[in-house]
Amino acid sequence: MQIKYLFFAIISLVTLEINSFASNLKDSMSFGFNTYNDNANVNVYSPTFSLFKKVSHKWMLGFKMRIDGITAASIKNGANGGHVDAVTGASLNENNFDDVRYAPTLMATYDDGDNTLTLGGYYSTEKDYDGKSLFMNYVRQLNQQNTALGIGFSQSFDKWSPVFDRALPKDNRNERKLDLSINQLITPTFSIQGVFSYMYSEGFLSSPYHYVLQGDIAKFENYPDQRAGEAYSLKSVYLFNDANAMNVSYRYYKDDWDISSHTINIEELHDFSHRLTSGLRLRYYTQTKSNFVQEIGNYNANDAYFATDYRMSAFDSFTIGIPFIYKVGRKNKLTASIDYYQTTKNDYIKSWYDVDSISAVFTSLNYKFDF
Amino acid sequence: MAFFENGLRAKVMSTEIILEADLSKKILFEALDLVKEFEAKFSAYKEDSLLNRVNINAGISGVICTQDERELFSKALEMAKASDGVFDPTIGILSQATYCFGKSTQKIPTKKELQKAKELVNFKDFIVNKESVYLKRKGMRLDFGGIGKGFIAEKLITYLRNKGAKKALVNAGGEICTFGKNYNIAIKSPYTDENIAVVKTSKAPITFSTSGDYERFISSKENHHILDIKTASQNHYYSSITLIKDGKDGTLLDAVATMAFNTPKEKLRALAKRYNIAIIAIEEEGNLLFENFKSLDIKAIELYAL
Repeated sequence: MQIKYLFFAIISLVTLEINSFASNLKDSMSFGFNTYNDNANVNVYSPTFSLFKKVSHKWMLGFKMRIDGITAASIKNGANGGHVDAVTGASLNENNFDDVRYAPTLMATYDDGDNTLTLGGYYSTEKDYDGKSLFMNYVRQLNQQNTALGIGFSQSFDKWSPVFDRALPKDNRNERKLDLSINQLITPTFSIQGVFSYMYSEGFLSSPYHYVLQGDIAKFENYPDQRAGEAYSLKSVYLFNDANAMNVSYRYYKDDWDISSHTINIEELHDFSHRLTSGLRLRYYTQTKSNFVQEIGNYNANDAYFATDYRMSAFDSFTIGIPFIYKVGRKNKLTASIDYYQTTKNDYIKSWYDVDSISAVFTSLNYKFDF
Repeated sequence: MAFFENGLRAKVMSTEIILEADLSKKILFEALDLVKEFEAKFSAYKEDSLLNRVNINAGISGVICTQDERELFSKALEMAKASDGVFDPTIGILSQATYCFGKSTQKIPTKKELQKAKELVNFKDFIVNKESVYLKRKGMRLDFGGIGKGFIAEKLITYLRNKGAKKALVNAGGEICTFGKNYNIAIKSPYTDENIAVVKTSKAPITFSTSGDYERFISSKENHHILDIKTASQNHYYSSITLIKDGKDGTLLDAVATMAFNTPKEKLRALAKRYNIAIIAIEEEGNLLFENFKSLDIKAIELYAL
């Protein structure tokens, strides 16, 4: 049974059994903890908290907080990853993590059953980077709520403050994103969703610390100061029966750095009992290289652009994971997941992290209750 | 306390300990117990520690201790004898009772106070025999600040190896021992929060020790905590000095780092050759000095701007 309710939650449509067009807002609170650990010795530990409170029949305010404690973080100066395993000094750094990022989000939601509008702002701060953004999402239900049209927009205004003494050509990094979506219930057990996204970034898009070291060339990483991309995705959700559902999605992305990618996700969920749902998910990702990345060792001193990040080169990745949903009570839910991520071999990964490929495990645990 | 993927980080009294090894967490916790035991016995800040009992009984009687407990006392005395007092663990009367480094009562003493206290600094009055440890004159005090972290780092790396570790890293308050993997060990800048160098180790055992004037001082770095026994005051040859030695002899390296900090640069090379160590020293003006790196078993060293 849980799968059935989950199915409709996933596609954000109301079943024909419900005649009321009342608001779907609920007071809720959640606590979570997420981890990421990889073989390049990057470890991230993130406690999260969220609180959503109805202030009227149709309005709700929400607050989310995420704290990321990162070891082997962004502030590594130099020509290769050289992540530091230990520091010898007259006294040790008092902090437990190399960097800590605090990221609160505030939002307000209006929902009258047919229209849902969310407005919000996000702020994150870490040692060398401040992020600010505003976002808006609007969903309109149509066709007796068998169809939902959505539009989302976000604009960020981020700023670098490098910890090393370096004057950047620009210290801002602004990004805007536009999403257009349509959800359509085809049959009571089958729905599809299509999303078009447009992304534009401008400002300082490289790392302030990394540089390419090759023979007598030592050049700071430098990317173009603008990047425009678009993505097309299609997702289908199919309910086999009351206890089994599958969702399959495909996403195509391309941008003006000549990076294009394909992502395929498949997830199967099964109700093991009226409380426990679990399943398996698989993801495959492949991307091409950017038009400015060179083979390691092939940069020239008068090249316009220099890259050290493996995500500017071609690579594939695979993810396999297991999600868990456990209904503690009528209003309480525990969700968890564990995923294993693996990239293909990549020369930039080898050069930077001294490992052939990235292997990572990430986990999530979240307890949510309505009140 | 925080867990790494295969390691443990904890603060034991004033010392931050990081342990990484291909061993179970249970063994890492057991290793941490060694540190707690050490702190309980040898901390100058714990009133009922073995060290303070020796200090309280100075000039009165010896304090009986086990063979294990005597090990640090013996090593400290050996280093004092080998260096002819340049390293001297009886410096406690100056560091703890006159300057009072690290305490709320820390102060810059007068010349008269220093002169008087200096008379009680003499490793020759520090006796370690088969059963007990004894300070001959009333008022003498031992301080293992210049050797203790290296000792505990050495103990930990030996413990982890004996427990079957094929690779391990121990960081005891900046005293670092590693083996079994190419670790990247950074050397902290004395001027900023960043690093001035990263050493990539080979898989052979290796030890790092750093002394510096930039973290513990009274009022200013002029009054840092690494005292010269002869003058009972501070030298300013360097802002920071890092010693690197093949092997896992953290105890010796910690003591030599303390000595090296009070060694002028003309004599640094001789010190490096005598103890077969490599030295990176940063003079107060910011000049970098390198000594005796030729035979050091490392893969690479990368330097950054100061």
